[in-house]
Amino acid sequence: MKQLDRPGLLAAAFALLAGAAGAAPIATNTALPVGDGNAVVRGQLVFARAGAPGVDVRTRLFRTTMGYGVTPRLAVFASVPMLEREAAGSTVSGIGDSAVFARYELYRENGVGRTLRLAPFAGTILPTGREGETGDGSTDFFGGVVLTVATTRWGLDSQLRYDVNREAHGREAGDVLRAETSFQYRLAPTLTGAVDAGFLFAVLELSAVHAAQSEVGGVAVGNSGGTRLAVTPGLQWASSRLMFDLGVQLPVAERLKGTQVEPEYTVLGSVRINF
Amino acid sequence: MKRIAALGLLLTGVVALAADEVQYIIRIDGITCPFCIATSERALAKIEGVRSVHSDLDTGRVFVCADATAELSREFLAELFRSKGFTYRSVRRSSSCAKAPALAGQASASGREHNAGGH
Repeated sequence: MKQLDRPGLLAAAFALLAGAAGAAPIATNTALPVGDGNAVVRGQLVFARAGAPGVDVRTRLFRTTMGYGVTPRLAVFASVPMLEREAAGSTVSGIGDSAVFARYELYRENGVGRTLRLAPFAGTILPTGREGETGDGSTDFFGGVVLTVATTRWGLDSQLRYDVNREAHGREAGDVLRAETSFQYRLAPTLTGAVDAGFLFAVLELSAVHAAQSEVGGVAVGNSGGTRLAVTPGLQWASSRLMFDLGVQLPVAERLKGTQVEPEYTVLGSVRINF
Repeated sequence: MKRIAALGLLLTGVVALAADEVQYIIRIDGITCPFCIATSERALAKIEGVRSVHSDLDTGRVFVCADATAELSREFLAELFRSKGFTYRSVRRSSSCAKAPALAGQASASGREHNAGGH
């Protein structure tokens, strides 16, 4: 698992993929398109707290993600995090590892007030952070597929993602498999009609993340790897130009190898603007 | 007499103004929330002669009030909505702008429809 995930940033690690349109997930991905020639910018604040016996880790992160619709089906994204982390009496801060990726809408089925989209995606995480502090030093790759079903009343986004983490200076984080689902339900207005006032959604997300053991010098690290389940309840308000969301990711169950820093909670808030 | 003439002039002006505007009622599949349809609405609003754009998500209709001289062909609309990820179905043109979406039904009674058969 990448280093930055350990203090409880599992949600943030993929929230950057949230896209452009419709009610959108808070901490996972969507298959909805950006729109040909359109751009979306998302600013996300993350506060995470994690701990182990005698260890308290606090992370504050601001992630800027930009998306652009190259064609009606293809969108490209770039995401840059700035972070500050306190642990064991020391603080590190600076730019983290950045991501660039693409998402292609493979299948689309539209109806009156409803849509179904299936979109594979792939990208790379670049070692723009300081190795061992705000980044892990390796160039990693990820890919997966996301399914979105949405109506004017609710939306459902589900994705599978696999991260291939590579070695840097003798250290290699284990590969990561994620299965995540986000459900959004419109609370207000109860009748849509004209849409000028925007929609308020309740959001509930479930996340299952399995990480293989990390290696140092080709030897598996005992205190690494395992499976985590988390739930993220939240609220989202979407108007024609802006989308705000706020959620709290809480661990539900964990089966970790050895002794590891375990996430306690992660607060995620973001704003999206479309152009 | 002057009052009657002035009233007549005013009515003539109102009728002329009404005749100068048209409403396009565009049926679109795949729109589910305000954030989705915003980029399409803005693209329509940029067209010369377009006065206002409103959407009704439940019925999947976009209402465009425009000068009579504005030209929104079905080919143009089909391409515009396709590029934004939606499916254009049809467009009706009525002789005046009903307040969307509540009066949309009235507009359709006098309008004509082009059915593109979807994309």
